[in-house]
Amino acid sequence: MSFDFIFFVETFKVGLSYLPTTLYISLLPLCLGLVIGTLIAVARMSKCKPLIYISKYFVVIVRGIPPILMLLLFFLTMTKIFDAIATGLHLPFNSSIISAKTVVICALTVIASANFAETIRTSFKSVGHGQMEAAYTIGMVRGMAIRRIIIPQALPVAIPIISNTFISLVKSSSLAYLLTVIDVLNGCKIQADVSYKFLEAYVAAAVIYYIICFLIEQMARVLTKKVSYYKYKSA
Amino acid sequence: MDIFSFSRMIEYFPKLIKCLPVTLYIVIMAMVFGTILGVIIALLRIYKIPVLNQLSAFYISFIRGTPINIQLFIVYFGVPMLLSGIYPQINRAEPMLFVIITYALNNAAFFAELIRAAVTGVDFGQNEAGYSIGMTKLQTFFRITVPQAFRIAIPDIGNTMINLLKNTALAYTLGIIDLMGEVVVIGSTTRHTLEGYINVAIIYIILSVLLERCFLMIERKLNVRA
Repeated sequence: MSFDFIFFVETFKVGLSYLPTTLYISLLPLCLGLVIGTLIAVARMSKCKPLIYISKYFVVIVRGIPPILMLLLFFLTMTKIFDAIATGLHLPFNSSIISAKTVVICALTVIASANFAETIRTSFKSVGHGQMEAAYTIGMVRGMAIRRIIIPQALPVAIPIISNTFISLVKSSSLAYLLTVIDVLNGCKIQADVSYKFLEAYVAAAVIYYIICFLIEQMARVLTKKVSYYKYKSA
Repeated sequence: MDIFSFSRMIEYFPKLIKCLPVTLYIVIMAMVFGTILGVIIALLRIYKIPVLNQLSAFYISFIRGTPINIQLFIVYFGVPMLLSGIYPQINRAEPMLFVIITYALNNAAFFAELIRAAVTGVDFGQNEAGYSIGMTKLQTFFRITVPQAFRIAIPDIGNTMINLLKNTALAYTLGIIDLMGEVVVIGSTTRHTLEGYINVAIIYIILSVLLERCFLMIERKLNVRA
């Protein structure tokens, strides 16, 4: 037994053709997670006690569950709950409109929103309270202070963490093969099912994921430099 | 149609808790071997040993850039292929061996990175101060740098451990009967898996909260002393 390099290259090409699926099931949770995560972070920083507790425990619970378990829980319950709601409301459709991809996207969105809530909260906290007070003393209103003073300082802290979360999302999206979604990993694996050359297939998938993650990291680096421009001006 | 029953959930709980030691065994073995290997890789990176430095940098970024489930299968298929010439019995090895190798290798990369960040995070003036009062290089490293680096590293070590714990949920894909594997076993006889998965989720949440609390306590203790 030895490493079949030709098969590796072929599988690599097949895996690349499924790249859009992987990006779809990791980019959509990124965007949805950013929106929901921001809402949760705002709830956590509000003065309403029940909202604070709900958001706090949501984050703790979701961050404690392994991604694979989250996917399986969604897979087992989502269609059933959807069916129950649909028949209860006499809607003209049932759970057959939910594809495995949708299940994966929903599960990853929940994971992402918990992580982003935590990221956004910590990056806001990293900007000292004095900044807000300074903005008030020169006559800014709250919204203006947040927009012009707090967010520009919080972004350079947040972007590296967001990119790390995105990388872990891409990695978690490879678990979708357990729910029969054909993404990069499953595409490579199917190639190997015929020839039994599993090692080559997995290495090909690993290389593709490595390239994706490398590119995300580089983009984040450029972006961080862009948004922390004010730091270099004063130097 | 019943998808969820509370009595079944309670019935399965003792069966699942019996499999917790398997998960903890993987975590502890991965921690021990991962730390040893991680320290070695970190030292290669800190002292910038020519070729090995670049190799370990690539190793770290590769491990961090690929999903752990792919790493599991690469080790599962790759290690026997590599070692079949030297040690043919490897083909009959337990899957547990490959699981521990994978998690140790994975953990080593994360540990190496956090050790390097912690050691380089200690101000170099501390080293110079150590030398100026007549300490040797080794003495300075162990008495001045390591205690301070440890304090910087503690939160990261906690996060890495929690991630490792969550990642061990994937070991069942190689046929290990850990928490997740036991749910599959129960499911294959009773056709009920949801209750088992909810139990496992609860166990994982409790474990990760406990770990987080422990590391917060250690962090506070160390910060008081400073």
